[in-house]
Amino acid sequence: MNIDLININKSFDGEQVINNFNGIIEENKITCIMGESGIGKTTLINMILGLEKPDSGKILGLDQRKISAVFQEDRLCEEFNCIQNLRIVCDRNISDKELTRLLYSLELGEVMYKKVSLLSGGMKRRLAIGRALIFDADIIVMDEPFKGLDRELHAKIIELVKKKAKGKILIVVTHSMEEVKSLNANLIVL
Amino acid sequence: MRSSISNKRDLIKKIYASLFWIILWYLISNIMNNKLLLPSPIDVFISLVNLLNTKDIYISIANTFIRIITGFFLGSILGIILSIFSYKFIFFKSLMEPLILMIKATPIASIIILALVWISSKNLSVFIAFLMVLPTMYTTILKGLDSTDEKMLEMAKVFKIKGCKLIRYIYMPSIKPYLIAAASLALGLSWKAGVAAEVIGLPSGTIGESLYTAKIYLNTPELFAWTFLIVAISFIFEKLFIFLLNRI
Repeated sequence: MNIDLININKSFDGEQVINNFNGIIEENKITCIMGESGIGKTTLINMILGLEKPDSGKILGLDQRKISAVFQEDRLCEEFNCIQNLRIVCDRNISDKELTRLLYSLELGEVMYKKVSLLSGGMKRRLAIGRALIFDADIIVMDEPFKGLDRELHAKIIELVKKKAKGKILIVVTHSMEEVKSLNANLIVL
Repeated sequence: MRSSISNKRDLIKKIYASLFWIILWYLISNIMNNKLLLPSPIDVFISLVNLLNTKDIYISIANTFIRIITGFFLGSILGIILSIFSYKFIFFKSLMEPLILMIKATPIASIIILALVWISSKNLSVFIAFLMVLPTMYTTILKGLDSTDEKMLEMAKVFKIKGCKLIRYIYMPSIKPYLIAAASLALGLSWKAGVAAEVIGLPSGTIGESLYTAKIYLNTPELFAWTFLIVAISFIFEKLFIFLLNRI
């Protein structure tokens, strides 16, 4: 089922952030959202995540569907290690082997038992992506997920995300046209 | 390595500081030359050894320890439960505010005397320790809950993290420093107030009763020895409890 965004309006402290926005996010496809800074991209995805409510308008196609996310900040549990950070969001039936495999594919295998607070910024970002991918979701929302990744890893992680998001709705906020092309995504410009 | 050297230095400094005060105490007591007013550290040490050689001391310590620790745990559990309710429901928080303020502001002696009217002297120290711990735990844990990162709570909401996982991974990291500070403060308070309650209520076979007896017989070295024991037991239990809390 597609996600339909119908006549969405949102303002903060009297300032209109999203003005009568309409858009369709297609099922089983990757959709990128682009736009200038402060134009309301994060607000829009926060509404999809259920963290904000539109002042008026409707979002259809979210009922009973599980959503996972990579937030603008990593929002990891800093006191715990990588495996534990993945375990937080997954079912018991997911084996340690599966988690280990994912961490290796994110180039985090060597640090899987390290406390997150000791990891570099890029490592934390990859772990946040891993957490979003391991969660059993129908919709994955990512807010600038590839920011801060070095060039070599950048391409590898994009491929991994594309592979893991197959059959799901993937929404990616980005500033890079290159990423839109690599993801082979539909584009919404705010 | 650097931290271990600095720890050793700190320990040496503490030992020297303690020695300084003990020597000063010894000198003053020598000048005064009156055991009744100020016994020397040697007199207190002899008194302590004599006390430790009697069977009754262990019964007194056990009786007081069980009562104060019971009060401490009851106060802690209720304080934590009430702080959770206050965190969840604004109305409940407003309801609790005057009660907590009143308990904090009331002089401990008034509470002890009042409590003696309501309950037996045997259970007085349980109640007093409970009453000392409750507002400390409540206020501090509520602060810890309020300081939980909103963004982490949003993350938990999106990923549907609930129950034990929510407590362990989201709330505990922000509450833990507050819990340790509260436990340390509350333990000290509960020992001080609990023993004070025993001195006033005089339940038999307790540290409070022994302190009172030492005072009646003007046995100042024993009074000092008991005080040293109370501080030592309170200190050891506090360190042990904080060590266990840190392992959670």
